[in-house]
Amino acid sequence: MAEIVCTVGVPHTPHYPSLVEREGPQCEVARLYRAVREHLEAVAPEVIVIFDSDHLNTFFFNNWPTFAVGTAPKIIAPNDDNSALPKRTLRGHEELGAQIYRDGIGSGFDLSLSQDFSVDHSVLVPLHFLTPSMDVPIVPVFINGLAPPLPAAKRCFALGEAVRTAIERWPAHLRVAVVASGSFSLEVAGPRIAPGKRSGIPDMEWTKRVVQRLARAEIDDLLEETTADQMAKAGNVGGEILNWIAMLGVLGRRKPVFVEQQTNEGHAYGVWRWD
Amino acid sequence: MSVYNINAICYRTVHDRDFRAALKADPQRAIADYDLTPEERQALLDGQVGALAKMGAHTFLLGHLARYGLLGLTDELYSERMRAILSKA
Repeated sequence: MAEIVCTVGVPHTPHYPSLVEREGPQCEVARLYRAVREHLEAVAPEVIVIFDSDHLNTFFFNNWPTFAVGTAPKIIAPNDDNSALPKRTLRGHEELGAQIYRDGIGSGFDLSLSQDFSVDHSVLVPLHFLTPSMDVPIVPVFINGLAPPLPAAKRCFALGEAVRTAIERWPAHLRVAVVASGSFSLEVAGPRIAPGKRSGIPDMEWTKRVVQRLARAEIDDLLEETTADQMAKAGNVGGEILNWIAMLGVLGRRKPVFVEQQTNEGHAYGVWRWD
Repeated sequence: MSVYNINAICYRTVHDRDFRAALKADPQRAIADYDLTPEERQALLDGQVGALAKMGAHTFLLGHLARYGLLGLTDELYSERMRAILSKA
């Protein structure tokens, strides 16, 4: 039976790979990603399931899923050119993806399916820092975090629970880690960007509150507070928190090993382990 | 429906290098085949991203226009026009 060995949450800011290249291993971003990576390496996952919000790159409005599972043996990344990372082919775990899709439908989630797709920086940047050799196959589970109406927080939590059940029903031994990719408050190219900049953080208070809720495992409060209005107030990509909420659904109401907000940013880094 | 086309033009700047180059070289011609209202077409050609956002275009997608320096946009100009929607509202 497959086992969920760890869940983590990280941001996917496109310029972080080049920032760390420039500022070196002691900078805050490098230190925080490294702290997460060390936990991930310690549990040696054989597959990574990643909850991710596509930035209108993998999908577009001609066919826009609220929830989708990607099952493909090979996944090109990145399909957008806004990180400094070179294009490469990632390994996908087609069979586990198929199980999550099938069982998800079985448990009442009307998931979309893609068997041929590429992914953007929101998958590649986390992998760049967490599994630099990119040898662990992935299953992306996409959640609409960018184009309202967004799915409800409670629904995303329940999706996480369904994904956990699907993983645990995998018949063979398999060590699975779950990654949540995204911010809590961030505006990219919308009206709340800083003057002359491409982004802004509209709701730092919300970020702090989310981090506190995560640290204390006050999950029901977090689900109540993560309303459509609150996500919109947090920025035009404020719905990326839904990836973290789905990840919480996988792990249940546990406290993290650590969760830390990055200085003056609308995002955090967190690890949950129970071994 | 034509807001869809504004979004589609922005999307295409990322995923179609030739289209991006065409939009840089001759914007009017590059978008000639797109079904847009006269107001949408003019706002796009003028790089009036605030007006396009108000018409319903997705702001994340509009950002690509500034990122590639299209339609006369710089980061400064883009942020000025986009931020103006809030102060005028």
